[in-house]
Amino acid sequence: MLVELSNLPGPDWGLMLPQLAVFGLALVLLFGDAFMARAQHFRVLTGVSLVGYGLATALLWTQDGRNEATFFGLFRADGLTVFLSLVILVAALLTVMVSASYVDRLEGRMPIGEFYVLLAFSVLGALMVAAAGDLVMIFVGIELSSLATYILTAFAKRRLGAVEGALKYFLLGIFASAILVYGMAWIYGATGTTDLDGIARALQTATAGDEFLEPSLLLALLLTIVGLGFKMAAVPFHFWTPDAYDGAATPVTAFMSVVPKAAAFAATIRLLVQALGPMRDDWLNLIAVLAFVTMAFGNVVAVAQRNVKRMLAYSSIAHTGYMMVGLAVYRQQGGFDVGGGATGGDQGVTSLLYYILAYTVMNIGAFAVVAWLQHRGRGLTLDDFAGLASTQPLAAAAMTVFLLSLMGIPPTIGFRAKYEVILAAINADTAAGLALAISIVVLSAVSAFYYLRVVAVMYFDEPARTPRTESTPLLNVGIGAMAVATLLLGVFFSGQLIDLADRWSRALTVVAQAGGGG
Amino acid sequence: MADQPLWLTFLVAFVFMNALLIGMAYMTYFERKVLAAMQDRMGPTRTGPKGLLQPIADGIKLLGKEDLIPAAADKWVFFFAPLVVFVTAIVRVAVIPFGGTVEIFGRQVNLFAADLNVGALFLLAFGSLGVYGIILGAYASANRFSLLGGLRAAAQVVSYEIVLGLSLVGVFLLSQSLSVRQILLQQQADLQLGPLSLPNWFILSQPLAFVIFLIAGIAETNRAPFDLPEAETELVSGFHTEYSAFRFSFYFLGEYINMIVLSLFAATLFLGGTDGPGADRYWGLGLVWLVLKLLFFLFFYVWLRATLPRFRYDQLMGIAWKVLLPLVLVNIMVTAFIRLVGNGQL
Amino acid sequence: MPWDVLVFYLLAAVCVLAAGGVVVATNPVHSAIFLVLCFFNVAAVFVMLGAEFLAAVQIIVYTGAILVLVLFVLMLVDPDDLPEFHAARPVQRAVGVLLGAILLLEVGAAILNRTVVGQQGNATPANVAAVGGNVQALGRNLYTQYLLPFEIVSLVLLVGVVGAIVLALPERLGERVGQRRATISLGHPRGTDVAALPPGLDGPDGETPVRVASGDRPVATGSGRREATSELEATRELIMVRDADERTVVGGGRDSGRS
Repeated sequence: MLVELSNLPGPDWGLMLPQLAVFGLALVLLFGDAFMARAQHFRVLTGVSLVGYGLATALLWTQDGRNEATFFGLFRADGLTVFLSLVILVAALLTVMVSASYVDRLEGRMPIGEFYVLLAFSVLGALMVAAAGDLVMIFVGIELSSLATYILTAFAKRRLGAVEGALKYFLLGIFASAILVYGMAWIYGATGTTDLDGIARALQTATAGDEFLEPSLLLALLLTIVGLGFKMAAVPFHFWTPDAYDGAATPVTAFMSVVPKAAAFAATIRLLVQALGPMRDDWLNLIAVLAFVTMAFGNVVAVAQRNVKRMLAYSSIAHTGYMMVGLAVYRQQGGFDVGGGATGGDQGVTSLLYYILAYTVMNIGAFAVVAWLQHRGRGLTLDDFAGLASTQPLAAAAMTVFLLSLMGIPPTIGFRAKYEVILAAINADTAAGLALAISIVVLSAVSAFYYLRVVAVMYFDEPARTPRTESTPLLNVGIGAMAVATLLLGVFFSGQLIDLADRWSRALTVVAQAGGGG
Repeated sequence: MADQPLWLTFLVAFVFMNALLIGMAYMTYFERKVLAAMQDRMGPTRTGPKGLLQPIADGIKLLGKEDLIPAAADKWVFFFAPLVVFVTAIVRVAVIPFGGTVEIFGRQVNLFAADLNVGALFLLAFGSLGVYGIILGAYASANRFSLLGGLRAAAQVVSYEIVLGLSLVGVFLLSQSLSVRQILLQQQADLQLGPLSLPNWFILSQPLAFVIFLIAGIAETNRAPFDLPEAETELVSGFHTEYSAFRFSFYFLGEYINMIVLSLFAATLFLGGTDGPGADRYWGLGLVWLVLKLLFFLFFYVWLRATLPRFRYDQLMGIAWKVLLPLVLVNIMVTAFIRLVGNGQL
Repeated sequence: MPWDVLVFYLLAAVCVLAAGGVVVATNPVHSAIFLVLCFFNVAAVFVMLGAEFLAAVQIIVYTGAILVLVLFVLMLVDPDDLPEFHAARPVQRAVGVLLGAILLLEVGAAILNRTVVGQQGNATPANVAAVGGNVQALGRNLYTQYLLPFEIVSLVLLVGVVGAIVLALPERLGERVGQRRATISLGHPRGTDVAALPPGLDGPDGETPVRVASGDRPVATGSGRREATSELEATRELIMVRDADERTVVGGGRDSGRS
């Protein structure tokens, strides 16, 4: 039956407080931008943004451990929502710190009010993907997030590179969206529902029979993976990445290397694990191949880059590959398979989630140092980093921390994350898992070359010129916080964070078993 | 509404279409006479008694002229663009009811060609398709004046179409239907205001929407004072500069049929259509009422043309986006609010 | 074969052919026309499926608004300025055709082997009829079950508006937006119009072919205007002007309305 209008269940607003906070923030920024004097924009709107994201992060605790849904199951607040929302909101907070002075001062003084508005909407879209319980929600969330990000990429519109990168990002992005939604249409056509759990139930019924080989679902799987591959910048769907990352203003690059990627992984986990979990035999190998190609390509090409921003772009492709390994070794046994041992959460997905968190902190940190140098009149090439240690030792130290973490040197958070992924791959106890674990180790050694080259240039080369002095207090605080977090979070609190990441796949097992009858 | 054989529907449609074409021909006569009266002239007097055969003479003249095609024209597009205007204009009549189900020669006949449940949207949809004839014709002519006229038409129609559609939303909210016939039936009831008994015409409950609809409708038909796409003085007739003979006549027919359709549309949605004293007893009287309302609107068109100068281009856009659109949105919100209160849902 | 199946195949065939035409046509305007045809047939298929509202909206939104704007843009671009429309390298073309063929095969295989493994959705003919028809059923689903995505889509549009303003606003931050009053510039500094500019007038400066020699002010009053007018009249060429209310630079005064 269609929904009855009498006794319509009202939405549970209390369940979506963090998302509502970000929505409210976006509106406040929009009106503030329109009705406030230009001179006050920088100070007031930056403050409002920081408070807004901080409030939203704090409100995440109201969703913790609830595992409920509202809006007819379209909005879900569960472990995945909480963890990925945490990642996205932290990334947003850090982006504001990195971007405030950059947007206000460099590249011909960009309009900071609109910048924050678009940032907030992009964050809101990513949050909605993380909380999606339905294919439609995944799609509109990705679109909201992407559209705002396309515009942010072109924000430094006086530079031709920004426009070029944005155009490539935009054209390939909408193409990918079309492919994604085509795949979703096939899923809907084959299963008759857009509800993620409903899809899983339908597939479970189908897999219980013998005749299960569904060409339409395979096609759907292929199309959705292609579409999501574009969004998360996996090889061979990465062509937009270097130009868009290089062209965009540095804080935007920091943002778009993290939040859209987190949203894409949220969509992938929701779609592949939660909805298409019963047919994981069909997608595990595909993801494994993509993961290997992505990390190999990213690392090898990064070696050849002399432009640090471009190098970080390829490095972020490589890190996408590491994260996909976590998905490729997904082996959830509980619920769907008869007699499977449901012993806690899935290590693969958990390591993937933890890796995203680690990547957020260290990657935004690296870009933040690049932005910090741009404030002081330095460029983006390797030569511009020459002798940084002698002129600005603290910045050089922070950059070193971030690069070592990206490389995976203990005791940084990057090491811990990589360790978890490798452990999950080995524990998967398959040939593919073992091969992927070995590839990560080998390719990390390759990555040491280009990360350490920057460190070497900073410490051993002579400074080419004297730097300009510039006061960027907020950026300094941000870099400091990220450096400390990168150094310490791998050792302290990592247990709690991993436990938080683990909750969702544990809960998924329970849900799947509860609905196991199909 | 009675089921009827397909041939009867075709017959009804055929009769209405031909009536429309003849009406369109005499619309030009009507326009020239009214304009002449307003400008203290005589208008056509030579051809037939009081010039009544003038439209026929004009038609013969048009068909007899040489059909010119510019050398640089995009031939196929040039050929079919005028047809698009004509066809989309005339198809729209299908959903306008000229009465209910009546008995003619002992047979039940529906005085409408189709009762779509999205009839009002159908009218809007085909109205928006008509602009293709203009911009494609303009493009295919390979002429700068034409191109500018086409560009103006595209921008103008897209802007005013939004206003036109939204102005109807209030009516949809009140009638809870998108079917033109259902909307018409609802207006035949009486509106009791204490001792006062009024016809339940939507012009009374949606006066603002009616005014906006009328303005946007005139803009949508590219008539004065919104006739910028074919402004003779600046664009040498704009999009149809290069058209001659019967191809030109299709544009000409399309424009006048669009005027008639828009007038019928306005009469049906806001003025009760065939509703009027005695119409529920004699269906012929209903038709007379509809024609009278139609003539009122057509007179209004001509009156405007004789009175108002053409808008400037920026004024045209400003009216649509800065005046009409906010007003119509307010109208929708107020209407929805009143409906919710009336239903006791607020 | 029942007539509705025949009609469907007719519509589908035209639709696919038109879609092919979009790709094959060498003239972008022709591609757009084919796309109109394709969308129109999709709308007709919607009608056959009993989704009249979708059909009407498909025509109003896609063909009536979006494609009109596409044509609008295409007509503003000089075809000679466009890159060669089919300038792919042979290798690229071969790979593209190959991948397309593979996708087509996959889609074909998927369609021929389809089985619906899930349950039927809630929009069955009986349920739709129970709430009063297609429009009502669609509205009910959209505004109850899918309310949240519906509202998010409105945010997507809002972002689009903000983005369009940010990216299109040419003025430097903090400066007043200039005095330009016309919303759409009709001046087109290309081709013979500009070449024919008399020597007293400046050449094109982006979008205003006509500029008076004395200062930056647009043609407004005084002798400057008269000179410009007479010089222009001497050349008998069309000159577009910056503001809509200055359009009488060429020729005599404004003519009164139509004949």
